[in-house]
Amino acid sequence: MAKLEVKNLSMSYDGKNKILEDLSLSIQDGELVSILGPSGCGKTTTLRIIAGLLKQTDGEIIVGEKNISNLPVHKREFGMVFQSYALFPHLSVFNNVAFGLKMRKLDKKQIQEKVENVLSVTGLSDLAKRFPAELSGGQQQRVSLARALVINPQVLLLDEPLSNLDAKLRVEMREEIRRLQQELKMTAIFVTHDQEECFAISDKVAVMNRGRVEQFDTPQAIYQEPKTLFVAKFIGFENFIKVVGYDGEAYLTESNIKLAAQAKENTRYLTIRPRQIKIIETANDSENVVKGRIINRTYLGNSYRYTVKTSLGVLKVDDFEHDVLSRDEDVILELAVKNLLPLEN
Amino acid sequence: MLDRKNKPLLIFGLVVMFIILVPLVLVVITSFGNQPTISLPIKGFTFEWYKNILQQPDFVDGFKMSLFVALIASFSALLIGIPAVYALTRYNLQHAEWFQSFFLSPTLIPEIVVGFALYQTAVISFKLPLLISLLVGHFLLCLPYVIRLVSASMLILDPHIEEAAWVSGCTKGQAFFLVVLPNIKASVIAAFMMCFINSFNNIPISLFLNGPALNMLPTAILNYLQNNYDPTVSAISVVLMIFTAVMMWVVEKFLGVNKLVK
Ligand SMILES: Nc1ncnc2c1ncn2[C@@H]1O[C@H](COP(=O)(O)OP(=O)(O)OP(=O)(O)O)[C@@H](O)[C@H]1O
Ligand SMILES: [Mg+2]
Repeated sequence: MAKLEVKNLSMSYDGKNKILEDLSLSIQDGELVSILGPSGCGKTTTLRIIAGLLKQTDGEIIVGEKNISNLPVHKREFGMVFQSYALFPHLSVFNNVAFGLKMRKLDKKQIQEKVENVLSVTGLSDLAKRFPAELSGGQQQRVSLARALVINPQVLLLDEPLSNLDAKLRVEMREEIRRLQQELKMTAIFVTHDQEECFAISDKVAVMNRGRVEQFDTPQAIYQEPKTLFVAKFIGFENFIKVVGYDGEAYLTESNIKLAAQAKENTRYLTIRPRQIKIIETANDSENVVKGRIINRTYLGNSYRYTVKTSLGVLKVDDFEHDVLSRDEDVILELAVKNLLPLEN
Repeated sequence: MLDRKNKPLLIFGLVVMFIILVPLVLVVITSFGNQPTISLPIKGFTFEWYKNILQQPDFVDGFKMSLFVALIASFSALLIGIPAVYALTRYNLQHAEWFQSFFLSPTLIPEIVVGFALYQTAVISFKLPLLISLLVGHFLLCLPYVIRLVSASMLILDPHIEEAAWVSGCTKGQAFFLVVLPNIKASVIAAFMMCFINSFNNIPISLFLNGPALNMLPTAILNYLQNNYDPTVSAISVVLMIFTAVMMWVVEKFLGVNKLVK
């Protein structure tokens, strides 16, 4: 249990391609931070470097006040849950969990006590004598979690721990992980490429792309105010309007239209969610109004998705207020200033 | 009730068993026969030939020597082979497959050639003691079994379980003994058995590296047969069968279930 700081981490497997570049994260004591990103962006690499299973090319890792950048893996005292669980096949559930305590040379009574305690917390008491091959996926996952928790680690590392489970179990297990993490007040890093999963359980989310952290924020902030084009795309924004300048009041789009939005440096795109674009009856004097023609319509259950061709480009609009509109109808769209978000590249 | 389709299979199985077992049974029977040559059917029953084994110093000394060589060769093959397999499967060695072929190459060369080559190089050119050359020969005979059998089980072992052990506080050495070895134990035992049996029964290599004080049991039997055709040979064969079976049972019993685990 400690604050974890990752400073300017760089990593290259072959000395040429940089897999991680100047990656920094600061995780407070007792926080659960998710690393979210597409496949191959370097999530596992980051986690393995923090665990000590890989050596960084450059950068520092600090736990509490201690610089552990060069500490070998077996001295780091972290708990880790592997994607494949990696239980010891030749040991019973009890001995799998007791393994780390035996390495720390605790006496028998203490080991018994601690293992029983963590087994009951993870709901495994009845399975203590079983072997990994005799457990279901969810149970193995729990053993793996119990094994990581029992040593009372300074930091708990989880690499896509839920990816082998079915949808229902995933939801149950992620809530259990969150509950245990909060109960034991553990500092934790949770790697995933599932957006919903990470929003549901994290205090903070680091969105990664190509070895860099694009945004490190609370789930709410990331959802409501993505900072970059990549983050916005990754969490489901669909309308992107390229801008070329800012005249002090409004942004200027490629097609020379003025759009008012919050001023921010380095803005390259404006974005807005499909359901925040309003279809209005008559063009008024207010800002950010644009004419367009419907080129496609899809039924989404509680709304209609219109694809509208405008002078700003093709926009996706979700509408659940109006009567059904049909193809080739002309519409007027309003992109409210407060909903139009500036994005960096 | 037997499934009709399985009947031919069953018959086939029985025929094969018969072909394998009949010579063994015949050897056992002839070892008790009281005629001075190996013949069937036996006319009377005697333990004479078993007693005769102990009166042949070649057999007694050969047994001791073969046992000694087989044990040393098997253990050294395990000692060298297991780390080699570990390196081949766990580290991204360049040209790993070359090493693999190199380690397996003794299987490709007829043993008689290995024996002759060792005699030529080790004994004639390098003037190594005969015993050392013999041990090297048997070691080379054993190594491929270790490489083959152990790498098969090493490859299916999830490399993450070792990492889990390191994270739990094991040094790499501890992790090897506490996590890797127990999980490849079955193949190590199998490799030991293959090594031991093959070394103990080997003739081609021992033939070339034979010497006055270096008398191996299989070659001693061969020599004996050239001058005598009495049932002593059957008797010693029976003794060897029993010895090998007991030895395997002991290994399995004391190293097999649960022993390496704890
Ligand atoms: N041992 C290795 N040698 C060379 N390159 C590697 C190695 N391991 C990973 N890489 C490369 O490093 C990059 C990042 O890999 P990493 O495993 O960290 O991705 P990830 O974000 O965990 O992806 P996923 O979501 O698919 O698990 C990838 O481009 C991958 O090809
Ligand atoms: Mg990964």
